[in-house]
Parts: sequence; structure tokens; C-alpha cells
Amino acid sequence: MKYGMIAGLVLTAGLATQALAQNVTIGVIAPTTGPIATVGTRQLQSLQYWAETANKAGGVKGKQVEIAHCNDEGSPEKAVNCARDLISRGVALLINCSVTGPILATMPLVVNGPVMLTPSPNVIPAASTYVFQTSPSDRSQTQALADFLKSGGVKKIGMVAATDSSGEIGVRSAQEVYPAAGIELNLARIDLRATDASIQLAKVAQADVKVIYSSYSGAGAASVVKSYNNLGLELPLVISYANISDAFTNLVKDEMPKRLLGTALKSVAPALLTADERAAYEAFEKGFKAWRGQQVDMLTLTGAMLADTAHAIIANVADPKDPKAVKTFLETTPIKSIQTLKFSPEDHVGLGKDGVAIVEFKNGVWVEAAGIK
Amino acid sequence: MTMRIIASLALGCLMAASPYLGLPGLTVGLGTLTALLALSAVGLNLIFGVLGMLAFGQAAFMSLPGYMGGVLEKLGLPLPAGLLIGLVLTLALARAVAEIFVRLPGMYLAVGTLGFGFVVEGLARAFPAWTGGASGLVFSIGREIGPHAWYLLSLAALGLGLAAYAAIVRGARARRFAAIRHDELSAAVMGVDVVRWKARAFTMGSAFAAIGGTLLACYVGVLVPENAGVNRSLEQVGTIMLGGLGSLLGPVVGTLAVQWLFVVSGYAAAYELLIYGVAFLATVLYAPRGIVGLFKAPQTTHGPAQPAATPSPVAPASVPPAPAPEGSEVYLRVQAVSKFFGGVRAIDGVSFEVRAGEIFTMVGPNGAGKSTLFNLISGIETPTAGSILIMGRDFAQAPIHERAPLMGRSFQVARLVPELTVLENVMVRLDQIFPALSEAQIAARALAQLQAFDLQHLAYRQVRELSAGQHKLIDLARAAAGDPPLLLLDEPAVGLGEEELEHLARLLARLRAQGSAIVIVEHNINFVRRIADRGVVLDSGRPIASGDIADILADKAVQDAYFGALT
Amino acid sequence: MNPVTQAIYSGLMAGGVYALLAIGLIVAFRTSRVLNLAHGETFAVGGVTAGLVAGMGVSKFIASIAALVVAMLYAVAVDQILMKPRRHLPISSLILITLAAAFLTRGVLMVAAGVDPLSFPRLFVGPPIRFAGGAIPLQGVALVAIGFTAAICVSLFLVRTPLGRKLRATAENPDAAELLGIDTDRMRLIASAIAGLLGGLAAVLLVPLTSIDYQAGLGMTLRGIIAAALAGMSPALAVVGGLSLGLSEAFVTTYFGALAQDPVIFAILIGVAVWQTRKIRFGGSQRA
Repeated sequence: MKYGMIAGLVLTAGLATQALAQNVTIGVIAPTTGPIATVGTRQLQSLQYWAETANKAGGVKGKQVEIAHCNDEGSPEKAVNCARDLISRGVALLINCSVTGPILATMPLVVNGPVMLTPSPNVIPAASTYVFQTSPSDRSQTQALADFLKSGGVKKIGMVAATDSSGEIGVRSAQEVYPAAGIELNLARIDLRATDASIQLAKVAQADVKVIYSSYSGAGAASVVKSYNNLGLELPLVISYANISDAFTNLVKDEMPKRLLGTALKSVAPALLTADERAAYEAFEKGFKAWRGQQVDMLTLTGAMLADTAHAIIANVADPKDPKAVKTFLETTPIKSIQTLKFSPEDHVGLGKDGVAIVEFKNGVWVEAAGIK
Repeated sequence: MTMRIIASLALGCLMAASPYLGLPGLTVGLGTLTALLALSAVGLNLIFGVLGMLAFGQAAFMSLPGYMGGVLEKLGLPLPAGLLIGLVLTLALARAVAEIFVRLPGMYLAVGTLGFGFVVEGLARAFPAWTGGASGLVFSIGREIGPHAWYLLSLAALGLGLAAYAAIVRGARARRFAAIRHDELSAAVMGVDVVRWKARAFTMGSAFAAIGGTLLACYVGVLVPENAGVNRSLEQVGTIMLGGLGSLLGPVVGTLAVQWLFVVSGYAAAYELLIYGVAFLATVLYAPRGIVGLFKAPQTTHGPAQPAATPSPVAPASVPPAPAPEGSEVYLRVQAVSKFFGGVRAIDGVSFEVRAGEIFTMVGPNGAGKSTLFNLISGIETPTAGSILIMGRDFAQAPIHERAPLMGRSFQVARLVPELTVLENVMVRLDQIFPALSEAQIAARALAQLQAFDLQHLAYRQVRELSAGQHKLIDLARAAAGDPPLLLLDEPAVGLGEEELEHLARLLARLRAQGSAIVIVEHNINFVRRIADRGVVLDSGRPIASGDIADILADKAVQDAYFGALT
Repeated sequence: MNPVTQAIYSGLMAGGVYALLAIGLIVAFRTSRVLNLAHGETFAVGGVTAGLVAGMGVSKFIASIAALVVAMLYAVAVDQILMKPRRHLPISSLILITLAAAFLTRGVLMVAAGVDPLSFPRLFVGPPIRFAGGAIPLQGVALVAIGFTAAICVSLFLVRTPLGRKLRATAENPDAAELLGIDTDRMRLIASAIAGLLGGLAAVLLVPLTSIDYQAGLGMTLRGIIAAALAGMSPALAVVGGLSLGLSEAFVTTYFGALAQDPVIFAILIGVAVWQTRKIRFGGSQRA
């Protein structure tokens, strides 16, 4: 552990500006401070875990993997500098774990490569670019939830969305998906600094609303769950993608709603996975827990899929620095991971709505959700 | 002086070349970011460092042109044209809000500009169809420019910005700004149109932000609402203080330090913010005048340095005061003036006249209304009723500074600008009265004025080094500079030694002989008896006696009201 | 549910917190003339302390008391260690020191608590109170009651008691206060202790209803400043400032949506600043 930290320090210190021939450097832009520090920190951990294990096992195809991390604090300026800096250092791949603004800012910088991977559901990269997105899009998640609700006969949903970018994109998806699915949408926005969501919940929880969805990531989402409890609401509460973590459920453990559901990667409920995928999941979970004694959650899982994608590229593409070759490889080869990622020449989003599961928190774990009556 | 310019240039070149020195984390990208943020910080330095206005809206002005350009692009305009129009509109907006903001004192300005930042950020978030909302507004401009070219472009912009700053903060303007920063009221009494100059400086400072912010938006390619928000504005205020408030290179040094510190502390992972905090605090504690202040004496002079050979001042006789025709012309006429504070009648129907070539005094116990009356005549307070005619023109409702050519005023505790020299202090007033004169002509006149007051030996000393008694005489010399027909002297004898008192008496006698009309408030009754010609006695805001000085001081009612209260 | 009632409840809860923050900020401002940009850190320090202590399995009451004590000691330490030896510096330098203290505090909290948000159990547990078509949790009732009572008490203390008047005199004119025999250093010590205690109290009451992380301080400082500015930095009006900020946020959100909140509230704030200063001609230096 200590060794790992020192190694991380040295590696990220940028002392080694020129990668050795036998090494392959992966540039990672991840906010480890600032408002979205949790997101960046978790995903970075998965990537560091991967690099350490791979290197201990002799590297990927004999190449040692270096993670060059750059903290962008969630700000576009810093992300642009991170990207320019990492590209000039000759990284083979860029992985961008930041939020929408910083990701949009870095996308034009990779028009000539290298390939950039991002796990943000809010970004849909054009298929002509070198950008690949490894999570189900926000729209796919909304569609999965709409299907789930429709099968339970739900006609009206209440939605609380934050004023940040994920809330904004969540609202856009909802306004497109729910009317098409014949579900009425009851919407209220909540300010990012709000410490109480009772106004919004009272507004959307009308008599005929059968379920409430909270599109709010980070610390503020806890306020929604607690306000839910304060109002004595008994409807099922669905929380969004980025909150499916132990850190979050710990925060609200004394304030659980009657039913807490979530839109999640399928792998959050491993029982839903294929045998191959489940094996990959279990291996990752076991190894990651042993590594630093931390629990696996949604964010570490998205990190693991980024790592697996990077691993597959290094293992299969003769020159990982050739963006054209990497692009062709990704567009033609399914990436085996905790959940199999499928990109195509027409679509650079690796998971569709099949990659999403509606899960429920029961007895301390996330399992597949039972239908809503 | 030349040494300082060479040192600054050398430091500037070193900083400009720093991304190529191979220091960890100091990349060309960081250099670009630093240069563009520093350009905006230079503008904030003008607003806050030079004028003393603590404003937290700089980031909003950085973002506005980009957002306006983006909106105009959505309306069908090409982006470069949209950005140019956005820049112009932002400056117009800055000028408009400056009218509101520069009137807010101290903390209220901070709060008002903070609010402005939140409004801009909130609007950017509230209309995603126009502004890209929380996800960000994408610009596709400048993509073909490489990182090194961007760095050079940013350096050039910063260089031009610094040159513009240096051109703005020099000579008469710099002295005027220093006077406003130190004491707005005293600046106004010297004839500075404080509101107008603060509004101009605010607009100019915002222009730096607008240009820096527009370039930054093009470099980054995305504008998010937080760019306009309080964190960045706070960071800008912090960086210029860290670098050195009010110094040319301070904002650049501060921005470079903060940006580089951020990157370097980032290597320490979880300890990043701790290291950043420790380094920031250490700089603040051990370099209270900023990093630049560590290498520079705390002197900011904006006027002529002491010449090797003493220059020949203009002979005092060459600027004669308006001659007083047989000493009978009325220079000041106070007519039925009243001032009520709420229900309190501080001044109640006071009238008197002061003529050329006489010394007129106001006497009365504390609280009789002398100070209020003084403030009414000099414009610091506005009368509730009545008129105040100076040389025949009614100034009762006019702003303070308009009186300056006709009236000089001194203060009970001299209100000089401590960081300027004695000569520069006098020059500030002359700058306002004779805007057409050259720097050299103003300096010569100021020197002549000091010579006339036997103060020429102090001309090149900084005011802060001198004694309180010297301050009083300098204040008097400054008030009389430009030979205003009317002089208002507030307790000129207080705090003077025996010798200085004699000096003062001689000066007043000469001013009277030259035809000035002089109004004084003075507690030293013996001094008043000796020099004054006529006076008015005030009690609870009402005149209870007026006339010849000997008569009114002998009056029974005056003795009771005045000396009774004193004992 | 009645949206007006719910807005009132929500606004009262937020207003209680703002009032506590505002009065603490004003007390410190009134004794030192320094706008303390590290004031919200008392909230963060208190909240993180309570979260960490409660996380060790200790009773929530002890965790709350620990939070109050640590927040108070923190505020006193900032004042005594950082500010006291440097009172001769210009006000702007002192403000910058408080900003640096806030940065350092954020760094310490990040090392101590990590980046994940924390929380701790409510002190007042029970079913929410339903009245007039709205619901408010017991903890929320306590927040409103204790928050406003504490804020009003401190405000009365400042306005009505001899010690309070001494505190205020310290800021009006420190030299004159010294001449009158007021121990200005002691006054500032008392002021910072009160400010720290109130910041900690706000955290103990609010955090169980939401969550807290290492960077919560700056946001709280800002809200305190806004409420204090609405109150015109007057100790007598701090409660009104906090309450009006909380309620106007709640009502703007209810009727115009959360996206309208910042533009509307801050436009009001600018208006209030202009109105409060309409009679001041020059930067507060009216003494001639």
C-alpha cells in the first residue's frame, strides 16, 4: 500500500516525461478535488488497481502500464490543460472521468487522436470521432426506467432534478422518453446548494403519482432521501445512477424510504449478469477489496470497465498510439468486461438500455427490483 | 528607476519563458491559462489595488462576452462577430452597473458585485437553449491554433494589458486614484469627481476581464456557468493580493504562483488541498504586501522625483489671486441655510457674508453646528433649505468637487495621501483645477505653492514620514493651491507648536492681504482674537450674534453660551 | 400537500441556519471590522467532527457536544493565532488571511474525512409533525426553535447588555474603546468564541437533515454573508436577514422554480445594498 502510494506519486509527478519503449502510459483526467471529487477519486482508484495488478503480473503484453493522472477539479480550463499536457507527453490513451463541461472541452483536442474513453452517461460522442463512451447513456437509463414503470402500469412519475449538468440532461431525457412511453411527467428542479428538498417533493408527489425519481448526484442526493422521510412519503423512490454506492447508502441508512430503487449498471446486481461477466465481476470485486479494503460500487465498476477497455486495446492493438487502429479495433470487437461493451462504426456508446438494471436496496445489498404495483 | 524597469523586464521575460524551463507542471497550457487569468487580474488590480474597490464580480465580466457571443451565434451571426459585439455590450453593461456599484461603500460594493456574479451565473444556467446551461456552451473557434501559438497570443494579450495598465496608472491619474483610494472625501474636496473616476476605472478594469475571459473561452472551447461565479472572482481577489496589491506585476506573479501551486500540490493526492492551504497561508502571513512586496520598497510615487538640481519654481507672483476690489466684494454668501437630521435642527436659518480680504470665524460650543455648517459650505452635507453662493453662484445642491476651483478646504486632522510625496499631494489639487496644464507646469506650480508656504524643503518627502504639525501646514498649503478666492480652514491651529503657530499667523495674514476670503473654525480663542476680522456665534444651530470679532467675543450672551459651556 | 405551508417550513429551517451564520459573522465583524471568510468553516469543522465522532460509534449527544467544542476552539484559534498578532495590518490583508485560513481548513478536513460526504443521526427522532398541509421533522422544529432562539439571544446580548455594547464599541472605534478601558483583545476572543459556537450549532442542527463534506465551508460563509448583508451588518437585524433569505429562497423556488432562485434572490440583494446605502455619499468616511 505504501509502495503503491509512492509509486503513484512518482508516476504522476511527471518526472518521466518520455515513456520508455516497454511502457505504455494512460492519461487519466479525473477530478480528485472540487465538487465532484467523489466521482473522480473512485474511478481513478479502479484504474490504479488495474495498473498495479497488471504490472505485477508482468504487464499487458509485456508492457508496464503507467497511469498519468491529472486533476481537473471539474473545471473545463483545467481539463483542457490536463488533456493538452497529457497528449504532449505522448500518452497512448486518454481516459476522462470528469463531468460534462470538462469532457466537452477536451473532445476537440483529440480530433487527431489519441483515443479518449469516458464513462459519462451525459456525453454521446459522434461515431466519426476518437471518443468512446463506456456507460449506458442517460437516455438509455431513462428508457430502462420507463420500460420498468410501464410494465408495472405506472401512468405518472414525479421527478426531482438538480440544477447541475446531470440534472439538466436528466430533464432533457425525461421530456423525450416519458411522453413517448405514455407516462406523465411531474417535474421540479432543486438548487445545488439546497439542504432541503421538501418543497420539490411536495410539489411532485401528487395523489396519482406512483413513484418518484431523483436525478441528483453527489452529496445533495442525501438531502432528497432525508426530506422524503421527513414528509413521510411512502411511494417507492428511485435514485439516479451515480448514487448507487455504499458511501451513499451509509449516508441515508437511518432514513431509508419504504422502497429505495435505483437505475444502475446491470453489474450492480451481479445475479443479472451472464456467467462470463459474473466471473469477471467476482474477480474484480475480490481483488479490489483485497487491494485497499474498499467496497466495490457503481463508480468503481465504471472504472473497471474503463480499465478493461484500456487493457483490451493494449493487448490487441499492435500500436496503441495509433488512433485509427484503436478506433477500428473498438468498433469491431466487443470488449469483455464486467458487462460486455459493444461499440460500432455507427455508435460510440458501449452499453445500451440492456446494460441498465432497475435495482432495489434490500438487506444491505442491491438486487433486481420487483415490479411496482 | 531604470534599474527597476530593467528588473521588471527581466522578471517578465523569465516568467514568459518559464514553461520552457522544464519545471514540473509548468507547461505551455498552464502558461496560457495563467496569462489569460492574469490579464483579468490586472484589471481587478486597477479596480481593487489602485482604486480600493473590493469587487467580487470580475469572473462575471470574464464570461459575459462569451455568453453574448454564443447567444448571437444562435441568432445566426458568425461567432467572431458575435464575440466582438459581446465585448462591446459587456463594456456598455459594465459602464451601466458601475454607476450603481461605485456608489456603494466598502462591504456593500463587495456584496453587490458578488450578487452580480450570482445573477450572471444563474441566468447562464436558467436558459440552456441559449447558453448551453449547466452542461456548457461549446465554442468552435481557435481550434486550429496550436498550444505554442496560443501561449504566444496570450502573452501578447497580457503584455498589451500590462502596457495599458501602466499607461492608465501614471501621472495625474495615478495621483487622483491614490487620493480616491486613500480618502474619497478628501479627494472630492480637492476637486476630484470621485464617482466618475471610480466608474471609469471600474469599466476599464472590467474591460481587461472581458478581453481575458473571451480569449480564455476560445482557448478552452467551453463556457460553464461556474466560470462566472464567486469561486473564480474570489480566486482573482486572492491572487492579486498574494502577488502584490496595486503593483504592476503583482497580478501576474500571483496568478502564476496560484496556478503552479495548484498543479504541484496535486502530486500529493489526498494532501493536495492541505499543501495548497499551508503554502497560501504562509505567503499571506509572511508576505503581507504580496510576493512582489518582498522585493520592493513600499513606495508608490506617481510624480516627479527630486531633481539633481533644484528646479526654479514659478514665482508666486506670476499667479496672482483674483484682485479684491477695495476689499468689499462678497465671496461667500450663506442665505437662510438650515440642515435637519431627522427631527434634529442642526443648523437653523443661518445667514452671513464673507468678503474678499477678510478672515471670518464661526464660534460656539461643541455641538453648536460649526462643523455641520462647514460641511454644508464645502458640500459634504446638503442643506435642507437655503442657498450657499460662492462668487455669486449657488452651490447648495452641487457635488463637492465642483467647488474646488473657487474654494479650498483644510481639515481638523489633515487628510493627506500618506503614500504620496508632499509635492504630489499639492499636485492632486492642481491637477483638478488646471486640467489643461502639463505635468511639468503642474509640478512647478505645486513647488511654487510650497515655497510660498516655506515648505519647499519637504517637497519630495513622503507624507507618512512627517509630523502632525507639518501635516497641518501642508494641508493648508494644499487647500490654498490654485489660489481659490475662498478658503475654509477647520481648526488650523490645533496641534501646532509655538513656532508653527507663528508661521500659520503669518501665512493667514498674507493670504488675507492677497485678497482671499477665509472662514475658520478654531477653538484657540486667543488665536482667533488675534487674526479674525469678523465672525458669527452659533448656539444650537442658531446664530446668536455676528459682527466685529472684538464685539462678539465681548458679548454677554456669547460669553455665557460659549465660555460657560467650556468651563 | 399545501405548497405554501411546505415553503414556509422549508424556509424557516434554512432561515434558522442562515440566522445563526449571519449573527456569528456580524459579531466577529463588529469587533474586528474584518469580514471573516473562514466563518463557514466553523460549520464544516463542527459538522465533520460530529460525523467522524458519531462514526466511531459514540453517542450522538457526545458527538454533538464535541462538534460545538471543536467549532468554538477552531474559531478562537483562527482569531488568536492568525489574526491577533496582525491587527495592525490593513483590513484587506486581514480578510485575505481569513481566506487562507479557510483554504487550510478545507485541506485539513479533506485529509481527516476524505472526499465522501458524512452525516450523523438526528438528535430529535420521531414522526414528522403535520400541520396546515405541510410536514416538518422534529429535528427541523428543533432547528427552527433553537436556531432562532440562539440567534435572538446573541442579538439581544449585543444590543442590550453592557458587555454586548462593549463588543460593538470595539469595532466602531478600537482606539476609543481602549481609552474607555475596554480590553479589545478579550472582546475579540469572546466574539470569535460566540461565532464558532453558533457555526457549530448550525452544523449540529442541520447536518443530520442533509450531509456535509470537507468543502462545505465556503458555501456556508457565502450564505452567512448574504444574510448579514440583508441585515445591513446590524446585530439587531441578523435574525430578520436570515429569515428573509430562507423564506425568499423557498418561495422563489416554489413559484418560479429552482433555476430562478439565484437571479431573483441576488437581484433583490443588490437592490437591498443600494437601498441601505442610499444616504451615504462617500465610502463610509463621512466624518469630516
